[in-house]
Amino acid sequence: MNPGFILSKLARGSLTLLLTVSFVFIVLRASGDPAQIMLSDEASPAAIATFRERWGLDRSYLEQYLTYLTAVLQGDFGTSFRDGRPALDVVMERVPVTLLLGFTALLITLVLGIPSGIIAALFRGSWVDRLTMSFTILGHSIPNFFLGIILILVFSMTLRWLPSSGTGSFWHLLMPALTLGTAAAATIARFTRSSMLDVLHQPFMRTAKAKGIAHDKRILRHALPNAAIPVVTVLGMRIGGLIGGAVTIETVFAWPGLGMLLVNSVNQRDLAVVQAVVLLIAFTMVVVNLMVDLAYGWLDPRIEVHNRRVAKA
Amino acid sequence: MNASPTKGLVARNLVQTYATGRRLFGPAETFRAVDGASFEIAEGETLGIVGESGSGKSTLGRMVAGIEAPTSGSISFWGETYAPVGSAAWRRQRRQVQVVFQNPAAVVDPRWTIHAQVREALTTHENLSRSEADDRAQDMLALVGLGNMGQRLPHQLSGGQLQRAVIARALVLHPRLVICDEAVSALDVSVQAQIVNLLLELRERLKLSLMFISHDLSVVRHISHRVGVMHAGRLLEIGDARTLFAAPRHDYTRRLLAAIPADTPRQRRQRDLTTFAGS
Amino acid sequence: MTSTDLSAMALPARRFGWLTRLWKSRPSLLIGLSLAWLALVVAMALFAEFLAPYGYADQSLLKRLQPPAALGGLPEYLLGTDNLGRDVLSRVIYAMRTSILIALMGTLIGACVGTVLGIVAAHFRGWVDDFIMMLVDFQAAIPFLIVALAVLAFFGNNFVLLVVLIGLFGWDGYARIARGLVLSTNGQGYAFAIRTLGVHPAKVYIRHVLPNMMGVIMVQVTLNFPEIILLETSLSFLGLGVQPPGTSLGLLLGEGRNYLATAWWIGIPAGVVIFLTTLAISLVGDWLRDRLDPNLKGKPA
Repeated sequence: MNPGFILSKLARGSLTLLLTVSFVFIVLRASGDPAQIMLSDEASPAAIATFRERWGLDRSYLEQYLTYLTAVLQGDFGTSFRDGRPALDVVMERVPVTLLLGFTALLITLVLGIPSGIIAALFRGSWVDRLTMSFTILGHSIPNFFLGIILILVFSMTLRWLPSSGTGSFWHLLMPALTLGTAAAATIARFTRSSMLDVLHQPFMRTAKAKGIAHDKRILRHALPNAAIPVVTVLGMRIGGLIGGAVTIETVFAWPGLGMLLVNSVNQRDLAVVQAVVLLIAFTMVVVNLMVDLAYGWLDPRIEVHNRRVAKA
Repeated sequence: MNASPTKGLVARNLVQTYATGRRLFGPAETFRAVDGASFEIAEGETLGIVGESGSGKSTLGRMVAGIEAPTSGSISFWGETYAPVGSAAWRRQRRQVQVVFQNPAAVVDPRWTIHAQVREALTTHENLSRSEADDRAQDMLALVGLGNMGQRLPHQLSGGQLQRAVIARALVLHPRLVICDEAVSALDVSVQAQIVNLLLELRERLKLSLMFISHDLSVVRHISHRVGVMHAGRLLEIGDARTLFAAPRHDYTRRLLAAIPADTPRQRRQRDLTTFAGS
Repeated sequence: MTSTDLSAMALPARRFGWLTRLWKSRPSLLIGLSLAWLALVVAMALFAEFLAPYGYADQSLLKRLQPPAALGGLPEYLLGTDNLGRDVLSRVIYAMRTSILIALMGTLIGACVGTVLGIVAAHFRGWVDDFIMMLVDFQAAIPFLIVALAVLAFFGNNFVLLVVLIGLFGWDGYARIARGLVLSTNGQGYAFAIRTLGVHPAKVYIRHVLPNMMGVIMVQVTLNFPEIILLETSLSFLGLGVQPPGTSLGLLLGEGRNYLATAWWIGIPAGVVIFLTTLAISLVGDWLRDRLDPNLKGKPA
C-alpha cells in the first residue's frame, strides 16, 4: 500500500469530520439563538451573558465558526444543562455500555452471517440455501424495534425467561444484542453467499481443481480469502446501521448507552449532549471507514490501481 | 493548397494532450494523443485517415469535428473558427459539421423511432411546422434506403440499417463536412460495401466533404481522394490516394500497406518484391 | 472507492420492450401475495375514511383495553381497543395512510433531489462533481437516523421538517446511479451523440436521458422505499416523528409498548403491518430487478 493511498483516505475522512462539525454549527446557528438553545430556559441573564462572551456570539459568523471549531478540537462540547457537567463527560461514561452491546451484536452478526452465507453458497439451490435466503429476507425486512418488542413479549412477558430491560448480566445483554445483530447478519449472509458464488465460478478455482488441490483446501485457501474482500466492505457499511440501530434498540430495552442518551437528550433538548453524541458517532464512523478502506487495500492489492483516476481514452 | 482557403477546412499544427494521472506532488503526467497535425480538406473532397488503434486518428477526428478543443493549433472551417465547445454558437455550428460513429447502436436513443430522431436533428436547427419536418425527415430516410422503416425502434433494425439511420440523422442537417470515425468497421463486410457506396452516392448528391477515419486501408483507398497516415500521434505523410498507395514515401506506410490482403496471388508476389526492395 | 464510476450499474438503457417483458413473465405465488398486500395497503391509505369502522380518535372510555374479537373481545372491535377505548383496527388503517404518505413524499423528494444532483455532477464534472460526491460520501458515512434526530432536536418537531428530512434520506443512492448513467451516456453514448447534433444539453437530459433512466431509478425506489418506511416508523416509535394526535405505524407501536404486558394488541398489529409492507416491497423489488435487469441477476442488493 503506498502512502498516497492512505493519505488520500485520511484526507477524505478528515473532510467528512469537518463537514459534520460545520453541519452541526450551521444547524446550531440556524435554529435560533444558541445561548437560548444551549442553556436551559431558566438560565440567569448572567449565565447567558457569559455564554455569549465565550462563544463570541457578538462577533462575525466566521469568528464564531472558528471559535466553535477550536473548542470542538479541544474536546469542549459545552455543558449539559441537566446535570451541569461537561457534555463530553456525560457522553463518554455511556460509551463502554454501548460498546459492550455493539461488539456483542457484531460478534452475533459474524457468527450467524458468514457461516450461513458460505454454507448457502456451497450448497446452492438446496433446501439449506433456500432456508438461509428466506431468513435473510425476513431478517432484512423486520424493523429491529418490532423484533425487540416481539422478543420481549415472548421471552420476558410470556415465558419469563429473560429480563425485558436494563443492564447488569449476560441475560440482560442477550436480547438487545440478538435484535441488533440479526438485520446485519442477514445482509452479511446475503453478501457472503453471492461473493462466494462469484469466486467459486472464477477461472482460478477451476485451475486449482485441475491442479488436483483437495476440495476443502480449495475452499479454505482460495475461495474464502477472495470472497472476504466484498464482505469486509459491507461489514464496514453495516457498522453505520449498527450504530443507528443501537439508538432504537437501546430505547426498547432501556439499555443505558449512547443511543438512549441521545434519544433522552433530544426529548429534553439537552443540545450540548446531542451535538457531542453526533460528533462522536461521526468520528467513530470515519475511523471505521478508514479501517475498512485500509483492510480492503490490504486484502486486495489491486485496489490502488482501481482508485486511480483513469484518463479519458 | 489548390482550394481557396475559405472553401474547406484548414488545420494547422493540431496538438491534443491528455492528463494520464494525477500525482500528489510534481507536475501531472501527460500524453500527446495528437502531435502537430496540419492538413486541408477541400470542398467536396474526401480525406482518408489511416492508422492503427491508438495512433490518435480518432482524437484528430474529434478535433476536426469541433467536439474537442485542441490543446494548441488552429482550425479554420470555411473561414470560421469553432466556438467554445458547448456554447450556443457551437451548437449552431453543429449543423455544418457532423460525425458518424463506429457503433450505431450506442449513439441512438433506444426508445425513440428513427424517424423521430432524424426529425429531432432537423427541428433543432430549423423552425419547421410538424408536417414539414416529418416530410423532410421521411425524405432523408428514403434517401438512405430506409423509406419504409421510419417508425421502427433502433433494436428492430440491423446494424447496417441503423448506421444508415445515423447517416440520415447527420445528413438531414445538410452539413458541409462529415467525419466518419470507423463508421463501417463494426459492420459485416457486405454491409460495409453498401454503406461505403451510400456515402459515395450522397457525397456526389449533397456535395459533401468527408473525413474518413479507418484502420481498414482497402476501404479508405476505395473512398478517399487523398489519404493521411497517422502513427503515434503524428501525421506521417499525406497525399493523393493513388500516389500514396502506389509509392509510399514513409517506411511505416510501406509496412502498413504490406498488411493489406492482396486480391490475387500475383499481386501479392509483386507487392512483396517491391516492399522488400524498398526496405 | 465511493466516487468511482459505477459502470456496473450504468447499464445501457434496455429496449422499449421492458414493459412487455415484465408483463409476460409470470410472477410466483409469493409475488402475487406481495402485490395483493401492497394493493390492500394503498387502498387502506386512500380510502381510510370508508374502510375504517371508527375514526382514529374516537374514544369510548367504557370499552377500554378490549382484546381482539377472536380472543374474546367485543365483536365490533376486530382488533380490540386501546387504553382510551379507541378501535385499534381503525387506528392502524389511518396510521397506514400517514406512514405511506410520508414515505411516498420522502421517496419523491429523495429521488428528485438525488437524480438532479447526480445529473448535475456528471454534466459539469470538475469541482461541482467533487463537491456533490463529497456530500454523497458524507451522507453515506453518517447514520442518517442520528442526523435526523439531531436536526429534530435543534429545530423542534414539525411535520414539514419531518417530511423534508425523510426525503433527504437515500438521495445519495439516486445521485450515484444517475451520475453513473449520465457519465456513461455522455462519454461515448447516445447523449453525447445527440449533443453533437446541436441539441441543447437540458433537452438531451429531459427528452432522452431521464426517460431512459426510469427503469433503474424505479429499481432504486424499491430499495429505498422500505428503508424510508423504517426511518419514519423508527423516528415515530422514539416519539420524535409524527406527533399525537396524529398517528403513524411507528407511533402506534411505540404507544403499545407501554401495554405489552396487559394489552399487546395495541402495538403488535402496527408492527406486523410495517413488517409485511417492507417485506412485500423487498420481494417485489427483487422480482422487478430480475425482470428488468438481467445483468444484475444473482447480485446482491
